[in-house]
Amino acid sequence: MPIARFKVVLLGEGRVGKTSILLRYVKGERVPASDDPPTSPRRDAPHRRYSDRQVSTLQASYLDKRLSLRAGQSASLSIWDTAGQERFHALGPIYYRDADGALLVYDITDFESFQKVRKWVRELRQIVGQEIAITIAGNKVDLESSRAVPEAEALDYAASVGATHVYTSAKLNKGLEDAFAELSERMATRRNETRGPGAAGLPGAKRSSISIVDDPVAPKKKDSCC
Amino acid sequence: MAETVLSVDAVVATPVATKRWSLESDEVCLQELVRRSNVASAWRAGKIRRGVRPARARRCKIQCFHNSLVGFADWALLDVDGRGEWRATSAGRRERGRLDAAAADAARAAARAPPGALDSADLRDAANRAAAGAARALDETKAKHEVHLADAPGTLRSVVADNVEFEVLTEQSPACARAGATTRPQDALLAARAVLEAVFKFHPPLGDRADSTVACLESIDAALFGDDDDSDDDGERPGASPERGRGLRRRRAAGEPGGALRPRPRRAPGRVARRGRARRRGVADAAARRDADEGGRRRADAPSVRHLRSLPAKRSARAKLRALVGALEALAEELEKRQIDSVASDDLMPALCEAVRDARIETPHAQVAFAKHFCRDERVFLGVDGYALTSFEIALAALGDPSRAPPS
Repeated sequence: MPIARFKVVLLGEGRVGKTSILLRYVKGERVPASDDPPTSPRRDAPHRRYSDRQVSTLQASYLDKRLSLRAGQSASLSIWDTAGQERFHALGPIYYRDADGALLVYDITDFESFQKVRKWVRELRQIVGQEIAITIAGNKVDLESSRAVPEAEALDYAASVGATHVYTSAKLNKGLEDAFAELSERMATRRNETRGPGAAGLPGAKRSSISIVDDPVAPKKKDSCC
Repeated sequence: MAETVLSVDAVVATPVATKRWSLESDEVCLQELVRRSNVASAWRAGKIRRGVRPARARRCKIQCFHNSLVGFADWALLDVDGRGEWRATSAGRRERGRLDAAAADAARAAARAPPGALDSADLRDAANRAAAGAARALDETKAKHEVHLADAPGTLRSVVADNVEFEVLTEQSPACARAGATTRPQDALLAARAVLEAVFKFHPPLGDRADSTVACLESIDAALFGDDDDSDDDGERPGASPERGRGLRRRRAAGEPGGALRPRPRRAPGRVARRGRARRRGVADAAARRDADEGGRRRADAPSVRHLRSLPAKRSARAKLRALVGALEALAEELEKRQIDSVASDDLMPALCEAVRDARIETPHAQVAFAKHFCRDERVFLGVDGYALTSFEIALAALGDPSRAPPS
């Protein structure tokens, strides 16, 4: 059975934990937090222990992850990290094009980061349309006591835009597998729906290998003079 | 299979579909590049037509061998032109000769035959006779030879796809184009069409799968149009082989130009340094200025910048994409050396903007357009190649708007 390949963009305000989520999920690494005790030089640092430099040399900016779907199918996720700086925001649509899914990350202790999620959802729907599967991840649930985003508001919003809402903690490695697995299932389902059963293994919708197209007969131009 | 062969004809019938990309920036350079490798444009533009009688690939000589194909010689020269002459070189030795009368007659008859004659028994017989003559002269029955017609200098390249190896000899090679033998883009298409047709006919399973078809097309592109990627070939791409491009390397070793698409002369490092100095005018402290100047030179010599500068010299879309990935990987390593933990896009993008600015590529938008329009297998855009291309586009867009440019 062919492996379905999906492009997933990772979006989120700076410092919401995008990189941590990505590294924890794909490589099992944990990015050291600021309150972690100092470690030896980074080459020997514990969080580097599971690095697989042969898998990706772009570190956390681009990562591949393979996983199994419920239907026995295999999926390969190409996870694209996006630059969060303000000056790159306007260029986001270049990242989104042809994306099958998006993981929008916000920090549950930072309401502003949740507000940004609304903006990205609008933009994604505008650029990619309804085809893109969206998962909204409330990160840092280990800091529940400092929560600034009301749970009901987050859940209601996700439901209102047809997105799935999950809670994650890169620090505790919580919710990450489920978030990506659920997103992958939805992406595969959408691809099958739009292109028929068994099409999940095919590349993007606009792609084809060899197309043979008959040239339409050009209509004869009318004489300009009347 | 039949569909694929149809597309070959159509590529010839629809030589250039430039309308979609000619309005891109830097189109002059792109035009120059596309003139040499526009086979994919018809593919991409979906302008492939049915029932178009293809032009005949005259004077295109193809040498094929495949050990597992029963009934086909180890190697054979197809003299489509029917001139009946051959010239062979091997390990510095050069020999020439003529087909015997029967073989020459067969070759001439085949040359007058309609397209598809490449498969005719007569022509194959003629080719085998020519091959046998050359082999006898060189006393090497199993070796591969570089073969030229007496009046048509050509280049022998390897085409490797799906573990089937074909040797391609065509006077429409970049070397011939440079020499003025042919400058029309259609000539390259004729050659590509002939090679593709021969490859599919001699090994039909290649056309059965999209993957192998794409690999085959890429190999033929590289063979016909040249692929200057030999030096940094990682051997991971489809159809890559150490054998591939050896003719090009040999010519380079002999001091000859590498191909029709020579890279633009790079700016001397001194010029970059002078520009860097101008930018830093006004720095009062002489020591600081010297340090800054050295820093600018270091950036200009950084591996990431070198990868980016190599972009215009890359002749295939995959080669350009690989150069972009190489630039990003080099940047990630540079950032890692600066003790940046877990390099993410937030770190990578500003660094890429700086590298793009330092690389001073003259036609960056054409490079992007070329990679997009001439990549044979669009699935690569979902992966790391696509990520690298997108990042490069974003860097260009950010640099294009001064308000978004990173601090210098």
